[in-house]
Amino acid sequence: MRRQGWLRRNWPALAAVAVLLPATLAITAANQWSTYLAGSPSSPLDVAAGASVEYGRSGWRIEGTERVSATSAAGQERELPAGTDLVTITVRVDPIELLEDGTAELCSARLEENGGAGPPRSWGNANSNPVPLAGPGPELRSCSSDERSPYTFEAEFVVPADAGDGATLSLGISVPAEFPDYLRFALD
Amino acid sequence: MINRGVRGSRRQRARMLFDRLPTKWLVTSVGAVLLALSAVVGGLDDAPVLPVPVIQGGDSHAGTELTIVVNSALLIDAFPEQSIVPEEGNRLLVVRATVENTTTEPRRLASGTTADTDSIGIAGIPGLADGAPPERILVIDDGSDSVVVQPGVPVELAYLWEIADDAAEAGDPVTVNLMDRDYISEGRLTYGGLYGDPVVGATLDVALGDVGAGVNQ
Amino acid sequence: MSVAASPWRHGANGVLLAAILAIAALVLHSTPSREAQQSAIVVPGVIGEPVSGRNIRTTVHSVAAAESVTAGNGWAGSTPGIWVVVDLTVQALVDDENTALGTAVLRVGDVSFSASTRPQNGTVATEQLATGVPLSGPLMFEVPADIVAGPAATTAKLEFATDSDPRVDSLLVVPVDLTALVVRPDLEVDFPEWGAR
Repeated sequence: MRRQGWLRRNWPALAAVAVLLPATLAITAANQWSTYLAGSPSSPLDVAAGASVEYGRSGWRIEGTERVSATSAAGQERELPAGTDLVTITVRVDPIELLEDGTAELCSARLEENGGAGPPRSWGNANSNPVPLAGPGPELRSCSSDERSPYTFEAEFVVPADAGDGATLSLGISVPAEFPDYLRFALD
Repeated sequence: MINRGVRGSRRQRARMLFDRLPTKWLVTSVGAVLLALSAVVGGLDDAPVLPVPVIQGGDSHAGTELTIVVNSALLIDAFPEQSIVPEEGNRLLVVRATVENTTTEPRRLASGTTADTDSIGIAGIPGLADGAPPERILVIDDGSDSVVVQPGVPVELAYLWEIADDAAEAGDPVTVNLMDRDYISEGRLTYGGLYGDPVVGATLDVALGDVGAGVNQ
Repeated sequence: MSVAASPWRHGANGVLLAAILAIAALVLHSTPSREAQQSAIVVPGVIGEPVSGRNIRTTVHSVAAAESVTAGNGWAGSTPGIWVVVDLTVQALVDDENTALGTAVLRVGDVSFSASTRPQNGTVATEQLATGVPLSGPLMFEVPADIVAGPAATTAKLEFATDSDPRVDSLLVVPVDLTALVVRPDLEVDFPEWGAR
C-alpha cells in the first residue's frame, strides 16, 4: 500500500529521468564525436565514374585508371615488389578560385577499398606511400599549388594483388578546408 | 517538550564551555608549539643547499638514470663523414663520454634546440649559454644519430656543441655538468613518465684538447 | 508512517546501510585503473606464425644472437653486449596513414630493450608500413651479454605495435626463449625487402 503511494507520487520525476538520462548520454557523445568527425574526411560525396564535379575551389574529374601487376613489363620497369599491383589514376584539376596568397589549393588522394570480406582498407600515394618505385615516375604526383590553369596529376598507389577482389575500389580526394566532406570517385 | 529541554541544556552547557575558551591564548599556544617543533627540525633558517659534488675526469658518476664517465673534451673543425660542418668561423666542441643506462627502460638522449640538456651539459664557454643542449649526440662506434641508450649496455657517445672559433682553444678548461632528472610520476594522459627539470648531479673541469681537422672520427 | 521507531526498523536500516557500503566497496575495487583503461590490447602469437592486430600483422621468422652484425646497407655495429637479431615480416592491414613499426621491444623480465636504429635503413625498426604489402627485414636489439643466460630469458617476449605509444591499440606479443640461442661471433643480415616472400 505504501509502495504504490510512493510510485504514484514520484512518477513525473521518474519519467523525467527516463528521458533525460539517455538524452544526456547522446548529447555528450555527439559533442565529443562531432569535433573529431568534422576535422577529418569522414563524409564522402559519391561521384560516378567519368563525371566532373566541383569541390572546394576546383573542378575535379578522373581521366583514366590503369592497373599493372608486378610481373608485367610496366611493373618490372618500376620494380614493383612481388605480389603487388600499381594503380595509376589520372586526375584532372581545374582551379576555379585561388587562395589568398595566389596559390592553388592542395589536396590529398587516397585509394579506398570498401565492401569486401575484410575491413575497409585504404592506401596513400606519393610521400604517404613507403614502397619505393624505380624510374622517374609522373611529373605531378599530387595537387600542385603552382598551377593556375587546368592540369592533370597521376596518383600512384602500390596495392596488394588482391585489392579490389570482391570489393570496390574508389579514389578519395580531400581538401582540408572542406572537411568533413570529401569526394569519392567510382573507378571503372 | 521534555526531551527537547534536556537536550537544550546539554547544548547550552557545551556552548558555554566553548565561549569560555580563550581564543587568543589558543592561537598563541598552538603557535608556540609549532615554533618549538620547527626548532627540532632545524629552525627558521633557509635549508642549506648541498654543494654539487666535483669529480675528476675518468671517474664514473652514477646519476638517477645514467652512469656517466667523461673521457675527454676536444675541439675539432668538422665531421665531414657525418655531414656535420659548422658555419664559417665556428668549430665543434666535442665531449666524449661513456654512458650506461641503469633503469629498466631504454632512454632516448635529447639533443637539438627543443630540449633541455638532460645528460651532459657544458658551461663556461663564451658565446654558449650554460645548459644549452648539445647540437648533436653521436654514437662514436658508427656515427649514428638519434641515440637511445639501452639498459645495461654502456655506449661511447660524442656530444657536439658549435662554438665560435675564438671562444676556446687547446688547454682551456671547460666545465662539464652531469645532469640528473627526477622521476615524478607516470603521465596521466601522456605515455611514459613525467620528470622534473634536470639538475646538476656532478661537475668536473676538463682541459680541452685540439685535433684540428681530425684524422678519423 | 509509524510513529514509534521500532527496533526492527533500526535493524533494517543498519542492514541496508551495510549493503550499500558493501556494494560501493565492490564498485570502487572493480573499477578499472588508469592502466587497465589505457592498456594495449594484447594479441599473443608464436614464432613462425602470422599474428594480426587491428592494423598490423607480423610473422617472426627467426631469432639469433651474435657479437657483431653486418647489415645489408653495409652497417657493421659493435657493442659491449650482444646483438639479438630478429628476422620478421610486417605489414599494415587497413591504413597506412602515419603507420610505422613504432614499437619493437624485447622484454626480458622487467627490463625492456627497443630495437636499435643505429643501422638506419638496414633495419625495419621505425619503418613506415604499407597496407597489405609486407616488408621483410631484421631488427637488432642491443642487450647486455648476461641477460641471455639469466633466469628471465626463457620467458622473454617480443612486442610490436604501430605507434611508439602502444596504448589502446593492438600489441602483438611473441614469446621467445633467449637461452636456446647460441651466440655467434658474427652475423650477416639482408637488407629489408618489400613484397611477398
